[in-house]
Amino acid sequence: MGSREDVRLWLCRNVAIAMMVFAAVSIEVGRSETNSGFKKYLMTSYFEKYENLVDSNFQDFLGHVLHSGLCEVLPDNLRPVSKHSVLQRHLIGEGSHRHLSSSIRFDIDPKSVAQLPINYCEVLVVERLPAGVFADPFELQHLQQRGVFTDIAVFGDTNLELPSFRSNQSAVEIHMNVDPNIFQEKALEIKLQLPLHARYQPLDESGYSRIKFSDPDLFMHCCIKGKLQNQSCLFISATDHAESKTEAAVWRIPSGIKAHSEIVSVVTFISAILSTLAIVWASIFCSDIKPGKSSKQS
Amino acid sequence: MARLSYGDLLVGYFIHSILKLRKVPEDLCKYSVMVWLFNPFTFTIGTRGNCEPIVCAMILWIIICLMNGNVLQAAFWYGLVVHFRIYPIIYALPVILVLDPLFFRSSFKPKLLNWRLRQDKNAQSYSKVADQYGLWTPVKTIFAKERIVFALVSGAVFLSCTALFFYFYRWEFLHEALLYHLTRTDPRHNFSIYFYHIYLQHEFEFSVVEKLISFLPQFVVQMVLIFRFAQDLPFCFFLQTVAFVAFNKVITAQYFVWFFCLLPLILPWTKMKLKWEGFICILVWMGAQTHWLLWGYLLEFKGENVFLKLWLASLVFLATNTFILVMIIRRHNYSPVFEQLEAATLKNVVKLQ
Repeated sequence: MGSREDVRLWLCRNVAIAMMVFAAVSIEVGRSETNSGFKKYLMTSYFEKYENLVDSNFQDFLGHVLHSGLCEVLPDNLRPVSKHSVLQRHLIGEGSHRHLSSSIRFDIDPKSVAQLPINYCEVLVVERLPAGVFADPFELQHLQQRGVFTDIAVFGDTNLELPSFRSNQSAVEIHMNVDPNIFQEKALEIKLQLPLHARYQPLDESGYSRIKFSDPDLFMHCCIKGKLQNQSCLFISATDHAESKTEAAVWRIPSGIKAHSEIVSVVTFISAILSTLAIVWASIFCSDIKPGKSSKQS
Repeated sequence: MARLSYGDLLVGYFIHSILKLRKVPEDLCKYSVMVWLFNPFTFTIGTRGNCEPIVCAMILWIIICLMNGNVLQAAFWYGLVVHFRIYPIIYALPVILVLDPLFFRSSFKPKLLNWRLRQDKNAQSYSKVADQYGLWTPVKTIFAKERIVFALVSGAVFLSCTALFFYFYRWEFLHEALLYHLTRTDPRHNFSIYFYHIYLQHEFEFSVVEKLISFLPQFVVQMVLIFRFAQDLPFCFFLQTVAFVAFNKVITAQYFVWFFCLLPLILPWTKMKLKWEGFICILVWMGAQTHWLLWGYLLEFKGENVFLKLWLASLVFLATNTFILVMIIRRHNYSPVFEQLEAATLKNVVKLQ
């Protein structure tokens, strides 16, 4: 089966990645790969179905993924992780270039893990960025090359110059390898720092717009040793809201003030005209070209 | 990175060649070249991995070709440089003007005006000779052979480069290289006085009238500078570039390299002394920039809403640029690059036509 072949190829590639620090470029912007089967990035499958990143579409998509991505041979209740919680989420730094820091805990279900012949696992974090904030794919690529993340890709709008109201929402998908030995323990804790940048905000009377970050979508993607060959499985764990006691991270970004519009336009053009006049006056009357309008004749 | 620093050195070499051709004494040449090589702006921008010094070198080479009477080669490089970067398009008109048959015949190597004769005797004699031929000659010379050759060759080179890349990359190329500049809306903060205006208005479409009004100051200044100073070609290029950058809708620090490479070409003709006029000019210009950068820092790295102050700083920067332009114009010894052809030669030329 073609899809199984792809899975195997995919596996080989990821194992190779895990074994050595690699410098290959695997950043993919927007929709790329079109092969069937399990995609390298979840968001690739999403953008094959939908044009833009919209929350309701994404929920539908997750419902679909839950069905198609789960293991065929395993009973539904077998999951390596029972639930996850976002322990902490805040923004580091000031100004237009900051880091979104998150720490996430996965509770491991020892019963399931004992029954699952896990070959290899990775954590998938899908960070749906609010409008007005973007991640720079080239910057993330550098982080990936330095081995901070196993794989990372930006989906959606990556035009850095566009102001907020003209751009679409974008999403960052991060893959991080998990050491299989971690499953001997009770919980797996992951800390992430994602560099983000502010776009120019829509005009606002208060002079600032507040951008809220919702919790990320978390998945565990594992390779299970099957009867015939390895099988790729996607697990979604329940969010433990009781444990997620964090407040949403909020970014306060300066925005232009509409009341300035008129005065700014008028003064801008007046000053442009004044300096034009000054230069024209100096060129015609104050340069040392002798009268005779010599250079004007050509 | 190293290759781009070689670009810097090449620019230095070309500056030296141009000044030598214009018979500037050796020590003045050296000082002028040093103004380029030891300019903290240019070497940080050049070594940062920016292609600007290469474009600068091409522009200087075009000036050298023209001074050697090599119109064909100048036209070829000009077509190429406009293909690389769009901004040198502003030099088209002054080059056409300088290819005046009163000064420039491709059959002769053009005579260059000696630096020692910079006290504007020439400008007077020029007008005298021109008067002898009345009004008819200038009209006829508008379509001088050299001008047509330059326009056709550079146009052909530019178009064939565009066609070649269009063949390889289709619309993607056209869009990213050329059309992008027409439609670009970058409302993010920059040195330009227009940035806050663009940001405040960016939710509405700009009307054609508004676009024209914002283009008018740029256009008027360019035209006046060109028709006033075209015969002193490097000086004209310098003024045009400073003015073009100052009135542009987007200004970033790398644009300053465009005129820094031309600055050494005008220094030997200025009456401004480093002590104290020149020093004040440098100080004022850097002060205005630092002042802007301070507000820029507060906005970008501290997240404070200082848009209005930043915009005021842009206005101050424009005022400073204007002040320096006016100072430079007032203190410059206007001196055409080419010496007027002898009246006798000129008569033959007119007869031949």
